[in-house]
Amino acid sequence: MEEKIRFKLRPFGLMNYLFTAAIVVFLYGFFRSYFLLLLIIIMSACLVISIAGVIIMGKNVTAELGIGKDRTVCGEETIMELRLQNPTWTAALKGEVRLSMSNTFLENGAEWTAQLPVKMRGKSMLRLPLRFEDIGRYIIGSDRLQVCDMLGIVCLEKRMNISCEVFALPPETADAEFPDISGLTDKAAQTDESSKKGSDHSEVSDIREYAAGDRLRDIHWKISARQGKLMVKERVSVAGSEMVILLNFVRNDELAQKILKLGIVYAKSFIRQRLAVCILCWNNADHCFEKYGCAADEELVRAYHDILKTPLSLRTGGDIYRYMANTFPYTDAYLDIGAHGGEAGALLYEK
Amino acid sequence: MKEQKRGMIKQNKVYPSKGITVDLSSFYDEEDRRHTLFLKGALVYLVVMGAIGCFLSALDMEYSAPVLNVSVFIFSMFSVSLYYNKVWEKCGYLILLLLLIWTGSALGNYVNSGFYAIANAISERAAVFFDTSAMRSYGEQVGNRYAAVTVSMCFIGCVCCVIANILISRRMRYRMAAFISVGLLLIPIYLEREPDIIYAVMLITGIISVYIIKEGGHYKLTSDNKVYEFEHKERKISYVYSAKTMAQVMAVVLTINVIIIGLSYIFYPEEEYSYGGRMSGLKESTLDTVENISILGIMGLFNFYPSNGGLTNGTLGGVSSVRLDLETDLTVEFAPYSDERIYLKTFEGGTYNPYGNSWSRLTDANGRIMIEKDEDAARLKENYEDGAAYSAKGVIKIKNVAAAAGVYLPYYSEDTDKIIYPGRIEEYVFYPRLYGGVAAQESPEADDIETEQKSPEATERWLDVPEQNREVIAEFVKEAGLKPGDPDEAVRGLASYYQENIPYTLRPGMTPYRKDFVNYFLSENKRGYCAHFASAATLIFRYLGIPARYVEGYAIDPADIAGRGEIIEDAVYEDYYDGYSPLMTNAVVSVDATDANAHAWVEIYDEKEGWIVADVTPVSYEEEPGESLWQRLMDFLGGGTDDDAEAGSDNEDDAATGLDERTRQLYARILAGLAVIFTIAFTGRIIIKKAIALNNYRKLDLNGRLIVRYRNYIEKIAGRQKELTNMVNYEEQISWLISNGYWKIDQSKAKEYRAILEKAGFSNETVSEEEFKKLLRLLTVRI
Repeated sequence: MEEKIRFKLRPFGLMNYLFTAAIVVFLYGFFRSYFLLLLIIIMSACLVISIAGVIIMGKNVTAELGIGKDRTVCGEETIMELRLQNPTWTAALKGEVRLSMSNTFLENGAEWTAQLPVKMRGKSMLRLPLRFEDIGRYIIGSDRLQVCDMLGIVCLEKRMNISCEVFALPPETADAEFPDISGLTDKAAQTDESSKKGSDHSEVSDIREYAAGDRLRDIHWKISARQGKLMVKERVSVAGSEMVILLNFVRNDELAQKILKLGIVYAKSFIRQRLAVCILCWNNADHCFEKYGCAADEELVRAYHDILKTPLSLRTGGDIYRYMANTFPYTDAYLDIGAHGGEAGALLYEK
Repeated sequence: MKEQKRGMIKQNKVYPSKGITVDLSSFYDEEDRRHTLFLKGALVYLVVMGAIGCFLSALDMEYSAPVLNVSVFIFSMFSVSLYYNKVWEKCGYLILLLLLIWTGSALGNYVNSGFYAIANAISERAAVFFDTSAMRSYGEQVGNRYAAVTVSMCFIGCVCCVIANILISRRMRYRMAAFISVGLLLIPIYLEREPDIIYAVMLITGIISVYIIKEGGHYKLTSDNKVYEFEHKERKISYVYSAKTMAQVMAVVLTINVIIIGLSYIFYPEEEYSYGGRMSGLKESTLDTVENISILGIMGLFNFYPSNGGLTNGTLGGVSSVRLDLETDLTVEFAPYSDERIYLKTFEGGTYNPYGNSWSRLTDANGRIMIEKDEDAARLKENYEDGAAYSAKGVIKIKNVAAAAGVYLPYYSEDTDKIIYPGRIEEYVFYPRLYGGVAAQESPEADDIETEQKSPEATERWLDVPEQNREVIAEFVKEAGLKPGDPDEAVRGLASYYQENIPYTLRPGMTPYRKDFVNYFLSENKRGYCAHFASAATLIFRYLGIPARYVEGYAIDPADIAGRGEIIEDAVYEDYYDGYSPLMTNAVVSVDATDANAHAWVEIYDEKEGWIVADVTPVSYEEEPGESLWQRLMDFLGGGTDDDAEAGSDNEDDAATGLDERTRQLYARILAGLAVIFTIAFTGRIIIKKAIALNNYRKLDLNGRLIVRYRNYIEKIAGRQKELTNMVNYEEQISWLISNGYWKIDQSKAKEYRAILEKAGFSNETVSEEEFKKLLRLLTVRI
């Protein structure tokens, strides 16, 4: 962790103190009193001690950010803790931490400043009960800690880099909300059947030598001719008995969240029917589809973690259906969850 | 989500960022209010007890320290406890008020007596510091000063705790607290009295702690005791207060103070600190003024006596009242030879300036100030030298203690150019005019004395009556039944009329602006002191055809000689007096002439006797009925119980007619300087703030600029329409602006603008130049 420290003068604080000091000095010049002399000495000493104190404190004070869990569901209260730890014998009434709160998936955020007291040889803590209303990956971080001296003349700014993240997932789906997927499970069965006929949702993963039992249609004739022996295409099924779900995002926060919600609802529905799900998501940066095979809820959650890591702007773009056709030529049917007619919805796509 | 609570709309949710909500109902921890109140009470106690303790210890007052400390501590805690809740606040103030009323009535004598004891203690210290005995003292009603001071300070402590609580607990107004507490302490400090170390530590700790807590900015109690609060405008989540940190800060300050003051006392003890020869020039320049105030009260600032011993030098009507400082102006040594007053003349007024309200001083052909030569003096000298009957020669030695430099000439002296400068002694030789036991002025046998006829030209200049005064004087003369002709009769008639109809007072009130001094005195005010009577008499005599002139100086009565005079044992009588003496004594006396001896009188010209004294000022019966409230207030501010001043003897002082020019300039400069400082500070603060805001604005990207402009726009409207302050998000605010006619746009535009604002406020994207300008057009419309 890189920690850079720099001073910031507070002009008003300094002017205020100097003005007060000037009055005392003037009074001393006028009265030449022992009491006022003591006051000048104390004011000078306080100035030195205050600045020295904040230097010592600034070097030793640390900030920590934490959220008890790495994921939550939308609407659920999640406690964020910001702690300032001061091991020194000085105290300050102004400790400032600049907090940035951003949803990296929906690409929005805001900066806030949290002010905490800096307790002498102690810890001060801000416990913030957050509710994440939008789906996304939230990163709460801080890059700056600032402590001011007791007299409010200088501030010591410390650069740092602390953060914590939490994934806000769609809320749990009530039983009543699960859609009727009986028609869709048939399609999953059909895709399984059709794969037996050769039109499956498989991809070529390797080329190997022919072995007995291999299907004729898997023979790669060109390579076989080139190598002088029969070579077959090794296939990995992306469907098999899986239901393929394409999360077809659009650049609209509300629709994107609805798509995510629908996706999880359908995926869970399939999983409840003991059907594996293959979730496909377009990644514009890598220009490929990301695939997430999920046979259980936990896998689905992990898939969503990964999906939310990439910003929404990179989840859209291009002609998804064409890419889909090109990338998965053997996939005869998949559930397209996207914006259809301006609303989020699921459509079964069949060749 | 809002809920209505006690008439206030309370926001239950805040949105730190888009998609994040904080539910305040589950957010706030509650601080134990009592801890914070206790700490604030401790601060109030430190400041109040520190200030009172410093003040009393600096004056070496004796009082019960434990009782006072406990009382102030209880009152401090009671005062801060008023902020525990609203109900208790109202009840508590009522209880406090009843307590104060009860204390004021039941222990009123003790409280008053304690105040007087403190005032007397200040006077005593001031008397030592100024090396004077002319301080006022107040009658202490309670013999037990120890008890009286303790009770009155407990009373004062209670009041101070309430005030300090308002200043400190709520606002941490350290400047005001310091101004009151240290300001009070400056009185003994001016008199070079130092407070006790323990109270000094308390006071300094209190004020510095308040300063630090104020700078920290976290001290305000909230009604719901929440620990943290959201500041939407600042985008800040800040703690409200932390009792523990506050206590730690106070402990740090206390430790620093104890160590530093302890070390200072060890290495440079107070006993070794000397004021000797260290008085600043600035302080030195204020000594006269402060001494004047300590003798005369606040009014000493305004009726300021110049150092000429209370004489006006012919300037009239500038003050509302005359106060006596009773300081010695002149010390006069002479051998008493008659039972008549001794007049020492320092000013002769020639021409009266109507509406200018002054007498022009006599000057010679070269414009030098002069006192006219007395032709009788030469003749009386000649008589003395010839050994004529009833002739004599006297010497008056005058020391100028604190009067202005000038001639203080006895009658029948030729030493008209002997100026006595402050601190110097001069001798005046005079040849008294005596007629077998009586002084010249009242002698019925004047005709028997050989005198020369005065030239008529010399008298003409003393008959001038300004046109502006003629009408009033004519009416007055008619009313008083005065007739031209015999000067003696005129003097007697006027003196008698004055005595019966126009009261003598030291508080005649100021002559109003654009009014003539003499006209106002004779026709409207009809009361005054010697300057009024003498000025008017001079013009009246002139109107009656009697040459007259206005004279100022000192008049020493035989009563002064008997009362304050001291016989100079080692003085040789012959050095002071030689020749015939009606009193037949051979003593030389020394008399101090003070402001009470300053006087104004008239000289009239008698063809047979030359210039003679005509003193028509009536005897004073100063206690006046029907004084106005304002006058009483002025008396209170300026007075005390100055019995000598109240007595207002016939040889009353002459008034200083207002501030002297130097003091007036000093005050004007101080006021102008303060005005300039405040103006510069005020405007400078605004300019610096604006400059910083502008600089910060320039550093912002388009998002930041848009948000700042929008925020300013909303704040501007919210200043007039409080309802808007309850709208916390863009949607609500825009709806409000549309519904109240500020924005005349349709819903689709509203949606667009909201999207721009949200983009600027919450997203990582930057608004385009076009979007910025689009919204700016709305924001720059004149409201």
